[in-house]
Amino acid sequence: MTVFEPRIVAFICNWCTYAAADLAGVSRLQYPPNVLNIRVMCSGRVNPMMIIRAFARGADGVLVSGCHMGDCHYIKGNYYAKRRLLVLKSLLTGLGIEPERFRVTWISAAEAVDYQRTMTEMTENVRKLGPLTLFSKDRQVALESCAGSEVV
Amino acid sequence: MRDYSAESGQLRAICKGLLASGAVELVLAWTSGPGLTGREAMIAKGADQLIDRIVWSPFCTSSIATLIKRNRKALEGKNIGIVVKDCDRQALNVLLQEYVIKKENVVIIGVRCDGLASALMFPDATMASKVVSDEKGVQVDGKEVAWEDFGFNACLSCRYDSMSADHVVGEYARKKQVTELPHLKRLSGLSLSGRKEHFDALFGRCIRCYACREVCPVCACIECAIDPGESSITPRTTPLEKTSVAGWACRGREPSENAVFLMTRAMHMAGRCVRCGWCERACPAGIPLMELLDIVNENVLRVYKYEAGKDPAAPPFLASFSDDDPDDSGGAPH
Repeated sequence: MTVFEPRIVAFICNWCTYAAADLAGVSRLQYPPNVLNIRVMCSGRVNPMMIIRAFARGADGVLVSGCHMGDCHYIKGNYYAKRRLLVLKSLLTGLGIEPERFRVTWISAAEAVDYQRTMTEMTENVRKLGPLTLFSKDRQVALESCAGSEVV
Repeated sequence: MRDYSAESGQLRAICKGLLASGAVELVLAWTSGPGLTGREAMIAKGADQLIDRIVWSPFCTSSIATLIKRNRKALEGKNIGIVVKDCDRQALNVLLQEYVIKKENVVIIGVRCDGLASALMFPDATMASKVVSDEKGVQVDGKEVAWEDFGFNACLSCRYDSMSADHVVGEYARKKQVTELPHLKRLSGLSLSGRKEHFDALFGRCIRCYACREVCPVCACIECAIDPGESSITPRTTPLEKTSVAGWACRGREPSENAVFLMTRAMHMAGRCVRCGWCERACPAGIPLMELLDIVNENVLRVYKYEAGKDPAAPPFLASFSDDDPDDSGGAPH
């Protein structure tokens, strides 16, 4: 029997959380390899469509992480992100996606330990939940298409 | 008891007066067609035949505000008169908020609406039929059908009970009770997995005709995130092809795109959706779209205290923020 390994997609902002990930790296802090980090310039750049699509195409959990409120490199990008992403979260929960599968966090460049903890927590929470079953058939097709088979 | 032929007469007189005085160049209104259903039309001065066919009844199910977004270019800078029922009035506010039209260019003719009705319930009726309504339902040539029997969920849970406009026609005859939305109550009774199953089935029915987007009065972006048609990126897309398409924003051929489309639309409707229910009525697959939209609407209303289209001068919901916005970063550090 194969063990379920969750796939986590993390959109992390260039100025804070990405730097925290970097620091975690140089500090040799280990975090699960299930996390796929995607660097974006600001958490405000993360379009809800990117998150929805990540879920539809096979992610079991999605994390968006930016700077703390007031620390945004672009002054207020994370404020916009906060409103937008938490509305998205209410939609996802309303559709039956467990709230643990989508998280929005704020991690500064110095908080490598928090970065490590968040990623570990996220992976463990999603591992407990198991694979996402919403649009499961579609996800299967999407995954197959990634493997290069024919798509209808 | 409301007599819609009398109200249509008043409406006609107002529109005629506005056009004759030159206050407006065009009037956007419903006109009677061969059947009961009113159709939206843009009427210019001198089109007397059309002016005489201006109509208002519960069978004017379309949204006049949709005409504005469809004819954005043609209406630019023109003074227009627009006939709106309660939800259209609200949608008009959203369009004003987002600068689709300018406030100084519109003369608003409001009709107080008690709810909408389906012409399918009266197969024998014609445009000459006598339409009246009261608190219980709609009568066409003496045949009465209760409001509940039309199954227009958005109208049954309508909250709008006041009309502010330059000219107003009609009086409310049905008391609009603000109650808990029945479909949301049903949803909240379901477990997470039950909800998943429910929506999985609904998403599967979508044929992606985009009718919901087309009829939506406030889905007014000039360019839509889902538009770049056939140019989705697959593992077989060549680098050359990739350069000519807009990457992540494209619409793919996979069935999961149904869910992506419907969820993205629900998201884009946050703070915009005025709950007119026109998308639900237009959906050929019969997807109860209001369920999806109301999940977001309720959250926006309850958590952010933001009602779409309430204040035309307020900034759009997703283009603004407040320091008091809740933050549930779920145990985020500090």
